[in-house]
Amino acid sequence: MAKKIVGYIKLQIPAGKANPSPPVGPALGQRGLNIMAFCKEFNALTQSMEPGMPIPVVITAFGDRTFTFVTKTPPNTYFLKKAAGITKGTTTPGKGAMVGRVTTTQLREIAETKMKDMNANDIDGAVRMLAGSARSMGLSVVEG
Amino acid sequence: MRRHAVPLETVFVEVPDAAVEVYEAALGTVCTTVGFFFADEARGIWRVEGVRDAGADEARLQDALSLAALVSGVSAILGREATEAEGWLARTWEAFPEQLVGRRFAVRGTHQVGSVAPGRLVLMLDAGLAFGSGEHGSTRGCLRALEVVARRRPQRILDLGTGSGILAMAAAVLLRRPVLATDIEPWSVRVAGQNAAANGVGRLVRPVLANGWHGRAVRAGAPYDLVLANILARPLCRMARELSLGLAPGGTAILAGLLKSQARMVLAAHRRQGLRLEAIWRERNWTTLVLRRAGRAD
Repeated sequence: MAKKIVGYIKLQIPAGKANPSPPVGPALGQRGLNIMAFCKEFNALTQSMEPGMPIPVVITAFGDRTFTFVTKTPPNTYFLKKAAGITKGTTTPGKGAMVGRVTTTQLREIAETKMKDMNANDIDGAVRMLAGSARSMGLSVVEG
Repeated sequence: MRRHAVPLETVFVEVPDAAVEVYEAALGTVCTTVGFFFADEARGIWRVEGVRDAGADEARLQDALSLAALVSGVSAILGREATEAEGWLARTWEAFPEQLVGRRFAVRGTHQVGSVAPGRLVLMLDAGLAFGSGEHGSTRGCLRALEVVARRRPQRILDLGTGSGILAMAAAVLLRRPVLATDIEPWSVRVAGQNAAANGVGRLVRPVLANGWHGRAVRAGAPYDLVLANILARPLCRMARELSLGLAPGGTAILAGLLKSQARMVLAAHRRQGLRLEAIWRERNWTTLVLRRAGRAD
């Protein structure tokens, strides 16, 4: 018989760096989930990724205090900032000067990496979504 | 480990199914974690909650909640609870029962009282902030493998990445031999020392701060008859050569911290260094490898 799901927890953790401090400890601890087991498995799964890369995680909590989790690809903003060589997007989206630029080739590469976690029908659709995100961050999108 | 100086709070709302997604997004604008749990399953009411630094981005939170109410048509009252930043490992650990591992060991927290299962070697743990509390598949696999390997009566023993010190203590109580227990994290070295003393093996377990094999004490103690390493797959692969050089002829290594899918990679790295596979233990999603260096008859 399938175990009873009681809820879900979503958080972002740097690859290979899960530990019992916030945000992991309070989020799992309040629900009585095994923090140690989660940290160990998350770190084992993500150890081959770029250290510190933010990894979104969705944890499914069951009634017997066990859990499963899935990892997603890093957020669009992470890839876009990396591609543009900036650490922070604009604080005034749609106004003021652009803070950097990304090329359509870079957007396509990001789309291919992110495709499984995006609500797009195909790569072209994903590229258009990423272009919108880039502009809202103050990045101009150029051909190339 | 970083201490979290800023107090935390959990903010939450209780909303029906249809409004969960928008309120989750609203709390996600200011919270580092967001969760949603059944508050009243029969009525389809969920508690959507997030943890944040207390009072941070209050105006942004209120804007997001107003927008969520507008979009979902559900107006929710925001609740707040002060939330401890630290100590969750110990709190959740207290909820776990005594663990019986293999044929010889019983692992229990210092909070647990009552009689111990007969014939078991008891390992008392105050897990604190260090990894290794006996309920994890990789730790259990190591303990089970240790029971078997102990029949060879290894004399020189090293525990690499000791964490809470559980494997070093297990080797010490089982074999009554000195164990060098190393870790890259200072708090683990401290916790391992405290746990060893509490278990009456403080004189046998020697906790040392060291990065893998790059420590004077580690090099001085080589070659080892038994090396325990419950770490992660990639560090194990990187240290394969040092392990093969640090093992005495006929010496045994118990390697863990690897998922089933990573076992082949770790095994290949050590075979290239001349170690041979003696046994594999599988516990839940985790694999423990027992490897041996050739050179001495059993």
